[in-house]
Amino acid sequence: MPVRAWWGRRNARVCVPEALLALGLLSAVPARAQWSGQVSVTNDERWRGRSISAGRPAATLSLGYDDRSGVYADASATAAALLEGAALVSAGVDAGYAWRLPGGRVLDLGVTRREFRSGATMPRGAGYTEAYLGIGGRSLSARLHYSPDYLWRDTSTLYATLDGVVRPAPGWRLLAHGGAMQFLGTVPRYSSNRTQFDYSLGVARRFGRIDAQLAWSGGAPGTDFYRGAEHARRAVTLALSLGF
Amino acid sequence: MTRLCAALLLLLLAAAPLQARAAEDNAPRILMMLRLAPAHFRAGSGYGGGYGEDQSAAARRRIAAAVAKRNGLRLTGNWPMPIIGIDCFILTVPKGRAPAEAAAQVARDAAVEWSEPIETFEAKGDPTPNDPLYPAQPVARAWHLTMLHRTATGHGARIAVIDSQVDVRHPDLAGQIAIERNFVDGVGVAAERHGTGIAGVIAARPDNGVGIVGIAPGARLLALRACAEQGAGPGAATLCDSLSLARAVSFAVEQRADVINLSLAGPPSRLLETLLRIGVTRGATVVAAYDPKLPGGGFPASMPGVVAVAETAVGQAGGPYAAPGRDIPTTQPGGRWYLASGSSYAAAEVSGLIALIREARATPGRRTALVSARPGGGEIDACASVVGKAKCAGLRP
Repeated sequence: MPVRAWWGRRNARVCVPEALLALGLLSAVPARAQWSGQVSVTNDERWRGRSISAGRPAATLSLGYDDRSGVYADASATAAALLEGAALVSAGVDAGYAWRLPGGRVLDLGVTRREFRSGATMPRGAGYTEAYLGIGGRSLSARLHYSPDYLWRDTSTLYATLDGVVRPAPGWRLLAHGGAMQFLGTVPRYSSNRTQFDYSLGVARRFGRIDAQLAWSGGAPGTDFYRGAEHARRAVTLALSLGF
Repeated sequence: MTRLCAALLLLLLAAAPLQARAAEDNAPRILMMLRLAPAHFRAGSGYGGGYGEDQSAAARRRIAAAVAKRNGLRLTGNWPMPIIGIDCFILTVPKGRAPAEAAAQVARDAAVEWSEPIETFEAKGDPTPNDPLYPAQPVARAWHLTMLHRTATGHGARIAVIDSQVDVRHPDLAGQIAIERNFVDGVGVAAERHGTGIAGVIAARPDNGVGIVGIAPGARLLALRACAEQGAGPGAATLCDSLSLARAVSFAVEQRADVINLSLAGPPSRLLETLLRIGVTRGATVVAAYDPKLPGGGFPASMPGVVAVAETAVGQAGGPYAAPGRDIPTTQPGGRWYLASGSSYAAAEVSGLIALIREARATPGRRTALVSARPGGGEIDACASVVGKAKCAGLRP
């Protein structure tokens, strides 16, 4: 069964207030807090082993706020160059607290809201709210996410991730990611399986201020569905990011 | 796709590389510490482990550049130190302006945690060789080294030698080096005298038919170059700056070295003190050379929690620990040996001794304790420290 997962009941416009709130926070940053931003472009924007840009190039703008207390907030928006023209396909916000533990690890606790929207083949949008708890170190990080409304009302999920990074030489990083999502309760109509997996392996290199990432990613089981046809979930992507 | 390629090209062209160019000239430099926000989840981005590569790194560079501009300084590089939550930026001070004054001015900026000049540290040893074939090691008699090795050889311990370049191919050191890193800007060198000598005192191979026996030959060394020999010849000084030392200490702490040997002394540095304190908190023992000519014996020997070590000859009441420090046979670059003197080598002996104590008397949660003539200092009783007082009465070397 094809997974027509991403375009459900909500429209991306509903996340505009959150994005404006995040921008408002950034404009009121005290001197000892830090705000940051990043622009990235990729040939295909992937999310948990699926394309959210219908296999088309996309650009993402992210803004972040880090208070010295450990409180943080972020906002991001992704636009894709769809066949019908450029369109906003995703937007998200998060807020949380990162606590540096004595051993150097970081405990991360927060909530995120993300919205997806198709500018072309799918008529409606979908979104979810997730609470997450994670612990990260220099090379490994693990997180557990709980959503009460994953892409559909009353559809709760647990999503566990493990991410790793190895630095074989200055400026180089080898990246690995694995994720497993479990539907709690009734499996929604948009999914044929109770458990979903996603993964990626990549290599990243810094060129001055540019960070380039080449990644191979995918997911299972099932296929991806966009532009009216099924597509394999495996993809090779190139992304370039510029922080500011 | 054409538009995407154009966008990628524009991004690449827009990127003005910020390379660490800390050693580009001899202008004085200062260090400026910005808070390193903990790595955390971000909406809309990948979230692999690690730090310093995300958008917040670019933000810190932007803030650092702005602070540098406001204070008439030039940003030349940075070095994130996540174990203390700091991103350390290097700023070049214009000639004619005092680094201490520039650091004080930068420290007043609200975005800055603190700032300090890059200080110079000197290795505390006399490197002049006089009798390379001299066979006797003072610790063989004074510390009953052979007897100690029947109890422990430092097996399993990792000792960070933060010094000049160790000759990793020396026949007495081959196989004793677990990790080798260079934290000094500029071109690396194959081997330097002071670091090679310190490494030999700590961990020279036994029973190999050549050279000397290290105090802890079962230990493995982290050979971290943070100091450089100034010129050639036996009288050349070995100098380090606080930035290179901080990089090396940060690495040693991250690598969970059991012992951190700092056979050097200089002025206080808040950055170094912060890093060393984290190291001690995480269970490392920090050993430093004591220089009687500097206030408090110099830094880091003056820091609470650091094992300060002087030559026997300069041991004093209320002062540091004392260990043999004159005419110590040790390794020299190029597969040779020589005699060395100074508190550097006394400190190296104590670093090795602590590795023996950790192996022989390992108790979870218990700190390594030296037995000495008086609490916290004085002549060390190596046998009692490793084997225990009760068992040492009848021992002979």
